[in-house]
Amino acid sequence: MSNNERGYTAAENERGFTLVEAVVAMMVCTIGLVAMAELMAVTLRLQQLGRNSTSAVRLAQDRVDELTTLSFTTAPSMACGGSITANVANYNNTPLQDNGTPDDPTDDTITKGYTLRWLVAAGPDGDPNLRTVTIRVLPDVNDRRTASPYDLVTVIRGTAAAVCP
Amino acid sequence: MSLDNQRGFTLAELMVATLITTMVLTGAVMMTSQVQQSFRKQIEDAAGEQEGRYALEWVSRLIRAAGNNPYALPQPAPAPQTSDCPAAGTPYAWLIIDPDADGENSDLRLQTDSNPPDGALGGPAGNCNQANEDVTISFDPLTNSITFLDNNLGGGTSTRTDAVIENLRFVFKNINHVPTNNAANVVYVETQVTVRTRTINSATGLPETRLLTQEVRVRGRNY
Repeated sequence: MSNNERGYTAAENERGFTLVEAVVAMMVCTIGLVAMAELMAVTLRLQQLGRNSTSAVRLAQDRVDELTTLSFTTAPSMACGGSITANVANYNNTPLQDNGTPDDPTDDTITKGYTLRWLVAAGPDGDPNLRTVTIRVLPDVNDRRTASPYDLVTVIRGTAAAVCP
Repeated sequence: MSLDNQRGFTLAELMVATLITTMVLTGAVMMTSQVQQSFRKQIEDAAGEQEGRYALEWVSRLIRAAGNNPYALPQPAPAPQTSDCPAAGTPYAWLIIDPDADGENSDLRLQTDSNPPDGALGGPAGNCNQANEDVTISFDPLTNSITFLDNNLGGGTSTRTDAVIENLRFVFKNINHVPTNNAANVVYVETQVTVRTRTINSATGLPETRLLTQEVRVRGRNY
């Protein structure tokens, strides 16, 4: 009888969680889960960002490859000038995705999704044979998944009559 | 007495509780598998991308160096002239488009005079026996990889990538970036590597692919 009495009173005293406690516990759990989900989203976004950045770097390198061949005195794309903040004639380019078929009119219609601009300025130490070229690669789509504009700065050697102003 | 007062759950309560538990668990499991899937996809993506980048890197390096000719060996253009590479009495062809002649630009053969110390193309006269001076790069659709053959060293082709290459294509362009298949006019070569990851796109049922490209100017060539 005394045992039963004890058990009864014990059950009466076990009050369980209150609603407030349960809500707090759920909130803590939710915050943790949301943080994990957010972490996944951030990781995915960063991966895409990295992928887009490497594409941008390749395009910038392709442009350097091309600009190095040009004459300082005769080629308009290597004359002093240009801009990385606005499209200036001869100093911007939209790389196209070639399908590889020569003389195909449908070729050269799809862009690679980036616009390139460059700025040609005086080279280091006032050397007339050097020019500093800044190439900016801008993604056409500008959301959180694409890299912000990517800048590549390089010095190109050639022969020039004058130092850039 | 006390047992009488402990009433337990009713069947209805138990069923509701079970239902809620099931729903919550199902949601949790679904979310976990989703997370697991995107995690795996990410790893596979990165692996494929890395393989493609690596392939672009070494292929581009070889293309940039193609046609390097410091000792002014006779070139085929304008009139075919002969040199000692690849064999005595043949033209020095810095770029041979589509060497397997299957109509697909999925392969190319490059020649260059790059190896010191003798400076002669391919070594002593009549021999073309130095490494990396006459190479063939091709796509092997059977193994989904890019293969490399050093025509001077022989020994057959070697596989240079993992089996993740869906396609390889070279686009040859003239000075104005217009595609051409005339080797004499080629100034830029765009390498297009399509990598295939091991994850399946649930919408199409096909493996996910990604196109990586790099356009290089052939630096070694005189033009």
